[in-house]
Amino acid sequence: MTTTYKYIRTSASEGVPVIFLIAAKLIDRDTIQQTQAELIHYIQSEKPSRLIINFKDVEAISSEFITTMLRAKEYVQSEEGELRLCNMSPMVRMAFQVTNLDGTLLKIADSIPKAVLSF
Amino acid sequence: MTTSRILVVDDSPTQLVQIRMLLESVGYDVFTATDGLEALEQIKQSQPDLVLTDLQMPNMDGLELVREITQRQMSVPVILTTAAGSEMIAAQALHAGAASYVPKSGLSTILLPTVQRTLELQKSTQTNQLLADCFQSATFQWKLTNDQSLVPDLIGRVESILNELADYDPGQHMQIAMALDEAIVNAMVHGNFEVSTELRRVDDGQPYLDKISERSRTEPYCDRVVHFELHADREGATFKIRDEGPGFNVNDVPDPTDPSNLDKEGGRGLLLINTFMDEVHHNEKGNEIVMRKRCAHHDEAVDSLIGDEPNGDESRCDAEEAIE
Repeated sequence: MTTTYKYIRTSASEGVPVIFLIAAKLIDRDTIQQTQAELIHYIQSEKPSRLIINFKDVEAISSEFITTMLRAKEYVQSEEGELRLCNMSPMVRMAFQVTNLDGTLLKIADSIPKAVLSF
Repeated sequence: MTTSRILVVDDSPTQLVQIRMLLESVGYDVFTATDGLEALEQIKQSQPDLVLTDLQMPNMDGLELVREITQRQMSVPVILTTAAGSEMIAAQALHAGAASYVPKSGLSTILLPTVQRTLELQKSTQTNQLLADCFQSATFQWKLTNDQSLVPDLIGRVESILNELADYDPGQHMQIAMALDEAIVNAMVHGNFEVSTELRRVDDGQPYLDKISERSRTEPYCDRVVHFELHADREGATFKIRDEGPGFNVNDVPDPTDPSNLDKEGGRGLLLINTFMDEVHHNEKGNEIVMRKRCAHHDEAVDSLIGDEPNGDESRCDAEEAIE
C-alpha cells in the first residue's frame, strides 16, 4: 500500500529519490515535527542509498528544522545512504552557512541536477 | 477601482463557461484551471484576489487544494462550489480554511453575493494606504504563556503591524520571522522551562518534548511568562523579549560553528538571530534580548528600549494584548 504523506511529496530524478518539502515556513513546532516524522518514516521504509531533499518552496526555517536535517542525514547514513539538500532560497541557505553546516555535515547543491551529479 | 481577479477551478468545461459568464457579467476578471495542481501554479504566478473551486476534480480535488493553500500560507480566500450530498466534505473544507461554499443548485442566485461579500471581507483586512502613510510609530506589548503554538500567529500579527509602518522587503520579513521565532521559543523553552537544547538531539527529540510537556504543568516553570514588546517606526523595529527564568551567560554558549561543536545544538539559534537582525543586545542577567531590524536608514531608537521603558512622546499608539 502506498503511504500518503501530507508534509512531503516524493518523486525521483535520474533514479534518485527526491523529497519535496511542502510547507513554506518550517518554523512552527507542529509543522516541523510532522515533517520530520514523515521524513523519517520515508527513510526507514524506503532505505534509499541516495536521497535528495528539495527546498524549492521553503521560505523560512528555524534552528529546530536544522536539527531535523541533521537527524535525516543520520537516518540515511544508518542505512548506508547519502543525503543531499538542494534548491534553497538565499536566506535558507544562509541559515545553514552561518551555522557552518553547509559543506561540512550537510551537502547542499544549487539544483536537483547538481545534487544528482554530486553523489 | 481595480477589477477583482478570480481564479475558477473546475474540471467540467460546461461548468467553467457557466461560472465564467456569470462572473464576467458583473465585471470580474476571470481566469481558469482544470484541477487543483494547475490552480496552485496559477495562484503562484497570477495571485488572484479569490479562488472559486469545484470539490470533485482529478489530480487534486477542492478539499486538497484548500489544504495546500492553507499549508503554504497563501493569502487568498477560497469559495467552494458543491454538488448535492457533499455537505460533509464542504464542512471539512471550511474547517481546513475555505472562506465559504455555494451549492451548485444555487449558483445563479447565491454565487455573486457570496463572491462580493468574500472580496469585501478580504479588502477590509487590507490597509488603507493613505491612512497607513500617516502612521508614525507604535509600541505593542504581549504577556505570553509558554505555549509555542501561539508563536506563528504572534509572528503573523507582528508582520501585519510592520506592514503598516516599516518598508521591509519579503526577505527581511522572513529574517524577522526566523529571528523572532528563535528568540521567543528560546525564552519559553530554555528561559522559563529551563529545558536544555541538547535534549533535542536525544531519541528524535522525544525527551525534549516530554520535558517541555512536564515543565508546562510544574511550578514554578508553568507560572512564568514571556514579556514581548514591539516598537516599530518608519526606520525599523525593535523587539524586546524577556523571560522569567534564571537567565544565562551569553559568553558560556559554545560556538556552534566550531568544527568540534557542529553536531551539538547549543548556540545555533543565537547565531541565526545575530545573522538576521542588525543589532542584538542581552541584559546582564541573561534573560532579556533586544533585537533591532532596520528597514532603511540608521537609527538610535534601540537605545530607548535597552534598560528603559520607551518614552511616550510623539503620536505613538500604545496597545497591550495579553494572551493568558
